[in-house]
Amino acid sequence: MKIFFLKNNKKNRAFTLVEMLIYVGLMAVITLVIVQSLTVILKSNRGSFADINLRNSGYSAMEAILREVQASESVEQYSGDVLSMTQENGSTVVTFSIAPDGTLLLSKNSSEGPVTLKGVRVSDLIFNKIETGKSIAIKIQLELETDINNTTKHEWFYGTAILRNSY
Amino acid sequence: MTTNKYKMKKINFNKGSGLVEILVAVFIITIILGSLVAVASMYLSNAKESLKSTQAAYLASEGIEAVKTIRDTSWDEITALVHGTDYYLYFDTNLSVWKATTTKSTIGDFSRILNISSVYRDTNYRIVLSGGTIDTNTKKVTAYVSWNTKNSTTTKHISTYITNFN
Repeated sequence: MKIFFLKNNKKNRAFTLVEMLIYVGLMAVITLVIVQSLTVILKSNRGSFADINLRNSGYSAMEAILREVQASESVEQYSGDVLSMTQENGSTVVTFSIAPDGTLLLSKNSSEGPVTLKGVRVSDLIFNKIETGKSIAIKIQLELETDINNTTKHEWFYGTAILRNSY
Repeated sequence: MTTNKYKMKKINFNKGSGLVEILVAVFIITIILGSLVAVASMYLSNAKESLKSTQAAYLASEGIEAVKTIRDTSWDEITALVHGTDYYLYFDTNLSVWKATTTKSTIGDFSRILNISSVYRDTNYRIVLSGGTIDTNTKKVTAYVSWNTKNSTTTKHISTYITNFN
């Protein structure tokens, strides 16, 4: 009776060990899958956030520049990251410049404000003046950057607009 | 003895049940996480696509504006463009002007093509799509911007009419 009991007990212990191994193994696999999935989700979320931030800043900056260019009559300065134009027979001066923190600033009628979002910096801004003899146009190359997952993401925006009042 | 036998059976039964439960749990967790990952990747590609189409919109409008600067320089440069031919724009940095060329070029991930076509007008000088007489002082310009997405190519286009106002 005693011998049998011992045998039986041994058998039970062996089952428990195998069970434990299976449990631990499955647990490890499940944890791995969960951690991997969460990492992917988190990363993609940050990536999307960066993309959306760049898109919104690019949209806002390009809309502001193109709109002001189209409303202008002459170009005062278009080099060194600064674009300065006149509107309404020279009575209004519109200037785009980059703040030390990388924000694109629009100043018009002695008021100044940012046209890019927080966390987005202008890394490159090139203006070219196109003179056709009849009109003046400005070619814009705007590069924006934002930090994400310890790296920096860059995006280019290109645009050209004719100064409608330069005809 | 009988008690032990019974016990043994019970343990075996319990063990099997536990395994099935774990398998079901793993299956459910996999489905939940799988769908979460799928949604996250869709979110990611949507954000990317939104960014791309914004960039493309400015490239297309730049194409139209560039053709207008060419028109302002000389209408002859516009009439020299062959209808139905794909033209690409390049910026001549020495002269600081836009030029149309048949040489293929890309702007980053984007490709921009310009097409010029004739414009027909009826007796009341209204633009008509068919019939009417050709107006040599008006042209239709279409700018196509295309870029590659995961498994296809997206193309957007805008068009306008330009006139010779000399």
